[in-house]
Amino acid sequence: MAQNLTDQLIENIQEREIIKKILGGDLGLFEKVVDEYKGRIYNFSLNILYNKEDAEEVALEVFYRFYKELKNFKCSCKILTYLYQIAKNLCVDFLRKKKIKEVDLDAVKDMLKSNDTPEENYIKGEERRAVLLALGSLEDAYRQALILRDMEGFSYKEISGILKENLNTVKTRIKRAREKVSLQIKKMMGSDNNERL
Amino acid sequence: MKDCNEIKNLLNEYLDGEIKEISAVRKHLESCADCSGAFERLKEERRLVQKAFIKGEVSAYFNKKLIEKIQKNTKPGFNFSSAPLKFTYALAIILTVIGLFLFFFSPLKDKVVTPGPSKQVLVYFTKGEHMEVENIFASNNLTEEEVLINLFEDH
Repeated sequence: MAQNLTDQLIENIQEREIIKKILGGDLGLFEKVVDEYKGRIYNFSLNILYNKEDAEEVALEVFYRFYKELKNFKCSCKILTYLYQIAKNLCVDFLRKKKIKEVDLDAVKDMLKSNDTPEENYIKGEERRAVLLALGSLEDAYRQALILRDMEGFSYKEISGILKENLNTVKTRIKRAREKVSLQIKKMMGSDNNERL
Repeated sequence: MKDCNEIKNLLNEYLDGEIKEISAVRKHLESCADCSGAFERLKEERRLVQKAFIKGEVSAYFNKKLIEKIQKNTKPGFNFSSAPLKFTYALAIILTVIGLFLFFFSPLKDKVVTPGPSKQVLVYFTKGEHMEVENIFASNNLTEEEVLINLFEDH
């Protein structure tokens, strides 16, 4: 994710041009932006909400709001960072509206069944289940930071921009999230697997 | 020289490539089995976490639903940055100004159109403080607008 200054400037100019053209009515270009980023926004939402329909609803709303607010787009960040900011806020609002304070761990287990092949499920089922449940048990703020770091590969600085938290808070959240996950994995897997790890 | 506690505190940042003291940490890990073991465990747990994240795809009709929502809720006329729309608004303003000018300075300003007896249309104009009948139209088929148009053409 590290870029030199020239690359960043070029990317910045290219993104400004894209926004200008979309504002000029180029819906085809907007669709290209959607195609480029919809998978990432969807997967981010999926790993917060643990529900495919909800994640798709949030992803749709992210791009709708991006289009609607484009004329007010003053963010000096990249389009992708801006999309993640909207996604994060929408996920939080979604959970609040549905009054979900804790992740439904049954929903998390259901997600495992739908994604694994029978062979994968058999061989690594317990391990993956333990990790996924450990992730599901994290507070949203910690899980968001970990997803952005370990799934999306954003730098700490980029995560700080998306979550609108200072750099030290981001570092602490990632560190604590990993500690909590580690502890949960050890609890769930037992001492035998602790040695293996 | 950093001790093991300091090094262990830096392992997350070191793993994520976010640390300035890379060589100091690396040297310590090369010579300390305990810290090196902790780092390997951290790497393995991160690998497990990365494999555990759920990945999926949006539905095939995602784009279609999005475009429909945009077209339903976004009024193109409010896109002020569109050049054709700027022209349309400018034209509307010019026509409004012309209309207002005609309304206030038109020779029709002092005319009053009113229905008269026997379906006739009487047109009055003001002359000083008095209103006098200027024209009488048989109004069976004429609307007020048609009367006004006729008056305008006369002038």
